[in-house]
Amino acid sequence: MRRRLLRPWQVVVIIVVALLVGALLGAEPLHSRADSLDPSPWRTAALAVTGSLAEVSEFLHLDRPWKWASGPSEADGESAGSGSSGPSTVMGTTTTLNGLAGSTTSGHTSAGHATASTSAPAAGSSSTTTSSSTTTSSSTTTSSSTTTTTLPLFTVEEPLRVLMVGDSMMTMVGYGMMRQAERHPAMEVQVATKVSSGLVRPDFFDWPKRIARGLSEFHPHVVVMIFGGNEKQTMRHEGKSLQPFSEAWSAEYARRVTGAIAMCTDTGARVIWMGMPIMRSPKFSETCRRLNVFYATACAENPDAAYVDGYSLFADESGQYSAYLVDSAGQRKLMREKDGIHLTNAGGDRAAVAVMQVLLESVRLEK
Amino acid sequence: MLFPTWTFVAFFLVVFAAGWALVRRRRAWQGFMLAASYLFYAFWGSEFALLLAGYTVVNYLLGMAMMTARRRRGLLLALAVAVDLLPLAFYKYYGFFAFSLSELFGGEGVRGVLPLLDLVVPVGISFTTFRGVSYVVDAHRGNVQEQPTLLEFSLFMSFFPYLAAGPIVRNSEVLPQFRARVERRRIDASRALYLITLGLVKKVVIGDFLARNLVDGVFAAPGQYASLDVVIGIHAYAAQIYCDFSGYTDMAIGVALLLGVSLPRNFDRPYTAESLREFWRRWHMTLSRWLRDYLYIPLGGSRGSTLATYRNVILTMLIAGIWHGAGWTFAVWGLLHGAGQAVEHALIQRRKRRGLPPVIPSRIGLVVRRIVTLEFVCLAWIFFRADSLSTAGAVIARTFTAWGSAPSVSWLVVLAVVVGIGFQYLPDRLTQWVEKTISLRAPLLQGAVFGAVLFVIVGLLGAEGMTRFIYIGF
Repeated sequence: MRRRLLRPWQVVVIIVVALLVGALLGAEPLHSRADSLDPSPWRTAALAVTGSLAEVSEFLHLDRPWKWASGPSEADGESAGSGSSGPSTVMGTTTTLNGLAGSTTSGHTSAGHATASTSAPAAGSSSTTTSSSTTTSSSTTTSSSTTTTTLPLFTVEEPLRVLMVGDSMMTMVGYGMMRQAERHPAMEVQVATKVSSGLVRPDFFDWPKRIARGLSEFHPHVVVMIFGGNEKQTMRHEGKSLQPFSEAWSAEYARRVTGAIAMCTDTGARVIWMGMPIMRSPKFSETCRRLNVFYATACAENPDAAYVDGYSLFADESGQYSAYLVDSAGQRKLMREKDGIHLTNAGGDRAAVAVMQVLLESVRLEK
Repeated sequence: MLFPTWTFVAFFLVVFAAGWALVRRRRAWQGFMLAASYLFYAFWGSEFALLLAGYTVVNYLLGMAMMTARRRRGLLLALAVAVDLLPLAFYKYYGFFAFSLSELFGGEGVRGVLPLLDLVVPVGISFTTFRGVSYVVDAHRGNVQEQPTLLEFSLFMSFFPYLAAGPIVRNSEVLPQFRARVERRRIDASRALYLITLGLVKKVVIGDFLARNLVDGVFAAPGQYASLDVVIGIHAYAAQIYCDFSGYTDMAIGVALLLGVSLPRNFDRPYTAESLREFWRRWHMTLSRWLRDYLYIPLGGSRGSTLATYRNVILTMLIAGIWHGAGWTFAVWGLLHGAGQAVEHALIQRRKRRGLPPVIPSRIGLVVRRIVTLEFVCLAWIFFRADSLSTAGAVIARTFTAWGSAPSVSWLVVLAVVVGIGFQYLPDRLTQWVEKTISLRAPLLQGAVFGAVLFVIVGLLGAEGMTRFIYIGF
């Protein structure tokens, strides 16, 4: 028997029923998504429709599969590899970490956690670290650096553990750091990324939980973070919808950024936060500049956090977006993907080199 | 606009309803589909749509001139092909050319003459070029049965289901369908829905999963992975690229089918091939036949000496490689396939010269042939996926230098690789049974099941978002 052919109206029935069933099963995430839209009549309509769908879905128990699937784990679908409105601009500054406490004798786990309660790093068994302020310059950033008399040494047996977390912007930076780890065997890198995620939408992906898990399982000495690609969204907080960059949104976002840093530094890990790079789209670039203010400010408030100015790092000599930039070997390379947002491998390397620069000011890695 | 998005769903609902309402008024239907296709394309950038329109008009006029001219038809063809290749050369190869020269001559000196531009490559430009070249060559060869109107030709050049990433259709395949009177409004919906669902599963559940959980990492920092990780990662890429590309074309064919247009098949279980030549008859089939008809045969095909045949095979595959991307890695990929096919050809010829019949392999021999072919294809994929020859070298070296356990590979990854490659061995009759079973159910039930399956694929399994389709970039 051959396949039965259908009339167009029957196909319309199939499509409409399919959309209805799909929408009822996924009413909860659809409603959250509608809620995150910028204020507009479209958002109002979307909220009304998805709100009704969510109610019907709950009544019919069709929300169970979603709840079951999204409930138990915050890390579903993540990628992991082993390897008040703020001020308007923060540019050209890279702060550095205070010295990392490390010891060649006490083991890397204890080394990483010996400083948990101190803002000034504790010395390792044979190392002394002091802070002072000097200025170094690079092609794109000015950095205030820390001078150390004897920096803690990490070895192949007791490696420096670096956890890289963030949205899709982190992917290539993470891979860049994994390539750095090929050159520095005394460093172990773990990458955890989640596309389309950020700190604004914990309903989509709960980063604090994921970071907490990374801290407890991997015991990193350093956590490198990049967020910002998906943050310009309405934020749900205490039953209210906060519009991007409004006073309330900014206050809550600053709290979340500060909190993410604090949860790492409270365990003794240090944080390196890389700001969002300049983008091809001027509008998106402006968003990134505004977001970077939150990250730079939060890092400045925490002595165990350092901020790397990713914006300037990926700008050309005239401070503009350029897909091609000169790398550390002096060669001009394609640094940005065709979308004008994400980084290429060469771009990931450039970012990783900047992170390593900050890192190597506070640790020594055995060759 | 990508297929698996809400924007496309809304767009398609309107196009579907209006398209079928207009289906008996062919000119109105053509005009509506053309407008819809340009709207679809303009989502990637309105300047792209302008380029496509210019491309269309130039090809139409030159094709028409060729069909009516009695003299200098060769010159017109050369002009048409040159005009077709010009945008491709500029957008796709200028950057590579300028960058290579810049590296060769120390950079700064050349940049003044050939600056490194941040060009946004128009989506699907290669596929548009293929359609344009095939049309003008067919016009020159007298293979265009009936001179199309500008409206028909514009729709041939821009019909949205195949616009961005194929299949690479010929005028003789779709123009008659665009023109044909539709007496009975009937849709092969079960096949269309099956293909769309299958395409989504391949892309979202297998392809993207493998990319995120192993492939991207292995090719970014091979030194961080054990040999077994890398070996599985290479095979995972073979599964990923098949699922990604064939998934897209499955969806394209399904979407076109819902609009009443039948598109040619693009994949036929390529990893079951027993030789490279068979692989290319099964992989990206519409590209293979394009290369054969518009490149290999005009180069002389197998009509000349044995050496000339080898040259033509290698040259064709080299060009196929460079078409995929401006880079040495793609050239090596093409050369490997070309050289491999030349060797196969030589082995067959040697048997012929000795008067021996073609080998009929035993069951074990068949398995060995399939494994050897698959492994050779995987070896070539390393160059296709790596961002540089040095990375490709590092990946290959790593497969031999870090043996031990594979800490980065989960059982789910292995399962996805096995499914991605292995399900190509499922018999066709199973697919036919599924399609028939779906078609016999009531539309309400079909819709409910389709909706639930979509929710599982997109909402649950694909909740992390979708990566870019690999071939959209070509």
